[in-house]
Amino acid sequence: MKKPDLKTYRRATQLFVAVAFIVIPILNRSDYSMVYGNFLSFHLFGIPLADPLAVLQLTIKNVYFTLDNFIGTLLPLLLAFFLGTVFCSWICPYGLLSELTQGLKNKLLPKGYQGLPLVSGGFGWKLSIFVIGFAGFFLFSTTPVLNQLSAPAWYARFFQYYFGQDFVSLCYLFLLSLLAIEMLAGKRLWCRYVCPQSVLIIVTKLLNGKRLRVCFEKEKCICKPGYEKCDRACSLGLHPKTLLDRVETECTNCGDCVMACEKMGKALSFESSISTAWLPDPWKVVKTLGATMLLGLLAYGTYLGVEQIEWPKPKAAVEASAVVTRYAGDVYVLTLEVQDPEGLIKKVETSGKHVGMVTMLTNVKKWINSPQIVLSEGTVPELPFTTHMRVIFHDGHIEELVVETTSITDNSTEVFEDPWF
Amino acid sequence: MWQSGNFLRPPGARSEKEFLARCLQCGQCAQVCIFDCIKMRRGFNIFMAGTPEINPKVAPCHLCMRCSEICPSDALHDVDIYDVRMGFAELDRTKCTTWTEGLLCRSCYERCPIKWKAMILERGEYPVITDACAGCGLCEHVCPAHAIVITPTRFQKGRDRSRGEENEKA
Repeated sequence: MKKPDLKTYRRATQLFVAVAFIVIPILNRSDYSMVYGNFLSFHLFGIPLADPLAVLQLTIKNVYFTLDNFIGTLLPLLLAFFLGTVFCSWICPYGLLSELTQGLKNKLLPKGYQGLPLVSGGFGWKLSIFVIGFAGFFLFSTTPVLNQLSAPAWYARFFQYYFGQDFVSLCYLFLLSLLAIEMLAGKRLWCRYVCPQSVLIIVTKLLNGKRLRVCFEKEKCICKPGYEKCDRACSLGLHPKTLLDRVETECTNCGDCVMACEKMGKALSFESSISTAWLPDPWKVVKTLGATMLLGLLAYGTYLGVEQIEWPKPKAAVEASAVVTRYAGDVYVLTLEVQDPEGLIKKVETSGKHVGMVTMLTNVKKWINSPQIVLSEGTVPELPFTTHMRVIFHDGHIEELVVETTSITDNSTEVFEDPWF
Repeated sequence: MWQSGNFLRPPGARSEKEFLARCLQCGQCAQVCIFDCIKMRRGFNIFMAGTPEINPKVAPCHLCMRCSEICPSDALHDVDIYDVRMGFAELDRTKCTTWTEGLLCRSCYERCPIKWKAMILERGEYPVITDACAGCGLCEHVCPAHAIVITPTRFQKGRDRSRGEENEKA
């Protein structure tokens, strides 16, 4: 089997994230609440994740942050610190849509189509939008302003509205128009010149001088000038061969140029001070992870299945009787008795047609009090007379008993001798 | 598409200004709400879109307090059920069937999550709403005579209902 290359892994991850944010609102609708949120804040099995920019805005305006938010920002920032802005190229669903639009542009529009002749770096534009957004958030009493410029959040929110509230939000028009503009312009405008969310992770990335980055060795390059494969491969429209610090701030480490150069002399390669020798073969990792997950699923399924099986319960040695006795003066009395020689019963609850709920309690090991309930005076109770008993044992196990009384014991001739008279 | 501005914020929400300064519009409160009463606000005002709202006429809050537990940015802070002040319910005695006709309705009393603190039965029959009312909107939702109306806390500027204090008195 052909080993999947880096781009296949990247597309798979992007697609997985994009589909996950469609599925999560559907799961939440059916009361599954282990995974919820959108790109501004997210909870994965109780682990918080958050957009660093959103958290920074809250922290600065309110001079206060929550532990949840603090932990949430750690992972995205650490990722940026070591691997660069891989969020943009591996996770962001808007990035996926934008890349696919650029691919579509090459097919739909004529070949020589250039689009907007933009060459300047986009980081300055982003930074100014970032600053203006902060000022706006301080001046007006609104929700964090820059959160509205988060394209992935709008993507997730559309599905939150659609599956959570059966409401078609018009934000899809916003996203589609952005994509249309990008297609006509031939550049990924939003990602390069607007997206304020990337400012913070770019700054974090710049703090680490030994981060993962693409480097160029001039001696190995065999391309004709003007026909560089790497230039065409880069979806952001950067020139990988001239990756100076100014341009390199925008590189998302997607690896498309490195892959394009593999057949052309391998002049471009990833460079990092982090040793990658200890990293296992990715295909092996996928196989091991898949096997583990399958086994885990199987184990969990078996556990669920076993839990649902109704095991035959050991028959408890419970003998119950309900006797209806007629006493002098046509008084009919129900006497309930439960035999418990081993002292296993904690409590007995009874109910029946004529009996209100009676609870028999026992603390004594050998004996349960037998309550006497006056059923009727004068009229004969209907037969057969059924009593339901719910026997609760000390170990929590519950047994239901139905006791039928078919005859009435006549005790009317017996005369009570009251000792007090 | 039409939506009223007379919505409630979820339980535990801070004052409107503080709330807006903290709300991330992540929609997690709406996603964990098992009663489906919290909705993400919609409309063309993108600064309000995605903030949580409750319309008690459609689906009232049951004060399960899940939303305030999970809110990542403390826009909804985790308060006791007795300290919740989403709004204030007002009972129109000229509409209430118990007050006018003496019918034993008790719909509101039976549903109130803070029975006997927020809602009292005067002489054992007539419902009276006290200052301990959390404003969840359950009574407005169930009232067959439409006698109860909830006013959100952010519209009650003159009314001082400080948290906790009157509970101690009660």
